Amino acid sequence: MEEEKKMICIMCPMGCELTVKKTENDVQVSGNTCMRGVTFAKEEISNPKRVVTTLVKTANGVKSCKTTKPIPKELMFDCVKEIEKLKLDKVEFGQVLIKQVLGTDADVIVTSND
Amino acid sequence: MINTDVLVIGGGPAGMAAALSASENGSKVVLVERDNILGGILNQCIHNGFGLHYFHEELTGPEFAYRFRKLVEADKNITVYTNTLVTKIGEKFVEVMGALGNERINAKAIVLAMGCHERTAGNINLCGTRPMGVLTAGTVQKMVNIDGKIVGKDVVILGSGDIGLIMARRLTLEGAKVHMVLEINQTSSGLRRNIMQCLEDFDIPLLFSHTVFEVVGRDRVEGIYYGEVDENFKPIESTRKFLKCDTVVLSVGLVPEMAVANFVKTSNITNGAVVNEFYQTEKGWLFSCGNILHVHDLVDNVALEAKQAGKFASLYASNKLLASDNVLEVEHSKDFSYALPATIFAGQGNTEIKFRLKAKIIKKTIVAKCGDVILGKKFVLAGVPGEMMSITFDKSGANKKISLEIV
Amino acid sequence: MKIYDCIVIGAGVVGTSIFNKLTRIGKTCLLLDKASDVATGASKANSGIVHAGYDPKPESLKAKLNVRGNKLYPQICQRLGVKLNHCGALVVGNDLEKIESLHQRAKLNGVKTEIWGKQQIQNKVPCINDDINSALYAVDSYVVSPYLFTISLADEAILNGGEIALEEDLISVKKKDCFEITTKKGTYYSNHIINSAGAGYNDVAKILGTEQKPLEFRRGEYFVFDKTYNLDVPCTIFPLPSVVSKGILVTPTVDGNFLVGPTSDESDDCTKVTSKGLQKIKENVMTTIKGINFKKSIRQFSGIRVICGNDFVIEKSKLVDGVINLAGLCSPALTSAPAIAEMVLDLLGYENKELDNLKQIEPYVMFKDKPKDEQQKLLATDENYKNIVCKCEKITKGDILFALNRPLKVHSVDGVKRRTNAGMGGCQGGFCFPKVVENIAQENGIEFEKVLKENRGSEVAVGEIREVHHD
Repeated sequence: MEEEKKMICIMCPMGCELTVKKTENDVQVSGNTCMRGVTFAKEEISNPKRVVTTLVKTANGVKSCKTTKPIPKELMFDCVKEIEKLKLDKVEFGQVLIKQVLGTDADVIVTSND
Repeated sequence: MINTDVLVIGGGPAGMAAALSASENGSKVVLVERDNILGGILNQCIHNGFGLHYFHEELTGPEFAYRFRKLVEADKNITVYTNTLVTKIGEKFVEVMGALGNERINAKAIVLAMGCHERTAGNINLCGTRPMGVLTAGTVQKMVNIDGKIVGKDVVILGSGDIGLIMARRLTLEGAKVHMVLEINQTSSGLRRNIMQCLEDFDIPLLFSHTVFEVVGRDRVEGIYYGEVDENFKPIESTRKFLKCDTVVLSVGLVPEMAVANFVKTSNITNGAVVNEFYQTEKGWLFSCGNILHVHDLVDNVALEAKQAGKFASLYASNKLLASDNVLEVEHSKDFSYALPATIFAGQGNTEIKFRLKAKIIKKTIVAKCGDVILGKKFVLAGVPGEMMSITFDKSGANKKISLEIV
Repeated sequence: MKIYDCIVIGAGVVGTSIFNKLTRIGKTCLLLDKASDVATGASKANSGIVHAGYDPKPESLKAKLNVRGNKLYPQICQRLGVKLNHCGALVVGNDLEKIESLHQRAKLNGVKTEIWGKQQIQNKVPCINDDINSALYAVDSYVVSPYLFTISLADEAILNGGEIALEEDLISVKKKDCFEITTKKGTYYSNHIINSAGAGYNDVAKILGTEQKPLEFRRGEYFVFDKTYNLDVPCTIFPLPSVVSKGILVTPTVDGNFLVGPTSDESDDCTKVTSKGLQKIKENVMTTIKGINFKKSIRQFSGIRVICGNDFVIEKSKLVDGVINLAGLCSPALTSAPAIAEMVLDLLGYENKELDNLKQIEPYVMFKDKPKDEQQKLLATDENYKNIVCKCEKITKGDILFALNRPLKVHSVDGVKRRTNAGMGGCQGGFCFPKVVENIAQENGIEFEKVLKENRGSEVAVGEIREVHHD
């Protein structure tokens, strides 16, 4: 299956308009000025990942948390849902809330420190 | 009465960095913060992307604040007063209210590090009614991230500043529907990364040359009239459309918090103080750094700048801040919206000029010149107005005005 | 069954003045309004000027009540502890004939005015337009906070036995031996009813079965300027009046800001601001004041003036005995309010004789404005005065709690703002809004998201995160 996508490179302010062509066993990038654009586009088209930052509810109000690594983009909402399931009285800075969330290699940890 | 060498006003990243640096340079430091916790706005910026330059690690706002706070708390030369608001700045003293009661703090040097407030509906003359639901992005950020509340179900964001973009993602993740972001300019002042990860990831449209014509609703926002603007930013009535929504989030710029220091000469462009190479205002004992001086894109750069300012304030407090009598003005061509500092002292060593461009440049060289002598050059692959840039050069060849140009 | 002597419908400055006066002469009185606070209509959105009275047509109700009201203000404000700034007013222009005739009119109304020349004007107002050669100076013109004045009147009346019912929706009024007033919340009985509903006059008149009036709504838009903007506006400055309005004026407020406005456009009762209106203000003010930097404006607002012919309508209803109609109370109604209250007493056949043992309210003085020794006392006994809520206006948590625990209970953010100024500074509540909400929620024992910005339907949040349901 062939897939073509246009995207703007975010690696520097130049904002190159990249065209990414994905075939079964190859990804071709054009429109880039430097190699960073190629790396960016390949990652973005084959396996886009994001760090999720959100809140965990506790008896003492909400506390901020994050995934320790980027997780697949399509799992962002599911990740928030997993965190919503938690019922906690209190949490501490750095505490691991969920290990390997949704089977990824990222943990969800508390980032709030008040 | 409290006496100290250096007083730092504001306990956000700029204030903490300035305090640590002043202490490192041997000063006794007092740090005052109006909130009940150090960290400033970082505490509500729960997204990541902080610290890459300063800590070489990607952190969230609260984590970045935490690291700094631990350093400040461990520093025996720094006394922190939270819940303390400076109500007046006088010649080498301030008056405060809050936790200390009515107190006076005397200092040999004072550093302004109070950051900014957001531009408001009033600042942009937003038309229509003034119901619940018109809020600045930072206020929304506080209500969502700290108070855990959703301010509305159907949201429109006016202005594509970074906080607005970040809040588009935050509100979407927490259950609201963000219908669109309207930007009156033809380009966004927000980081490209944020446009991609906060808008495109969630299919939120970003409309350039568009603005809110009118807010509708008596008690609660019921919708907006919006549309295109012409080259003078005037609404084009024929493009007027209605959109039902209950919230309008404003992300339309920041204003340095200079109200308490309004006796100092300020720049018409940055609205911050006019400073020299030492981040020193026209009042020699008063320094300024971070967002109250000029709005930064990255907190890392705020901290690095404040570190410099804190050092100079410390040197001033111990009478070691030596400056040449030969003051060189810094000028710039029309390609730049501003350059900072306003003056540099003739002498040896490197110096840095920070600047913003007026328009995007591709593959150009920026030079710092003194007459015909080129002091420094910087090749820029790509530069945009939304990104603060700097050029560092050896100033020893300079003996009169220094100017920035693009060649 | 409690039968009030009087029920006043409409808690603007006029209704509240009547409510206050009735209470002070020992009558039982209930003040009713649909809003969540007093002074949320025209009474919160006007120029805040206590006019001297040179302008209204001699012998008119407006002239009489304006002049009388102006005389009553200093003593009432002193009693309530409400700031009244005796700043004076200048009517500027180059039509000396017109100024002369205003001066004559002032004389007929019994108002002290002086005709000033160029030098005198420039000495008083350095930023006056260079073209201005003559002016009429009215010595006894004041500015007041129209909402704090109204709020304090309500507080004082409640302290002296008056009752107030807010967030009330009128359903029906029946007259048997007395009036039976049914709202969505309950039924109230009274011998008299005052319709001082302002923009809602006809809605109330319909329910009462009293005279409907041909009302005209005019919207007036304003700019508010930052306190830190150092343009010196020492007194109220009007251009020579035209047929439709007093023109675009510039006036200091009691808080140290200044206002520019109002426009005067036909309107429904929607208090919006428009780009046309704002543009008109910018253009017109240039004829009187030079060099205003509109970038220093922190807010724009508009208010609705309800006009009914050329004069105030203050009358006994001919259709329903026991009802007093008050309609078309546009400018100078703020000034006239205390005098209107006296006139209403007269219409009701009550003698204006105040009770001897009336209680005084504690004035709205924020911590920052209190004398040093009082501040020290508060700091020693109440930690809340050490807690900053609004940094622009230097308002403490102690001040917020003070405002929340007055005779007239308030539970809206804007209500707290009108009482304390929290949120009125440069950041316009950007920082303090959530803090004020939190304080209201805590103190009144309600959920954060249930706190109102102003009236019902203005809840500050729709719920907890992730608990939003889309229709």
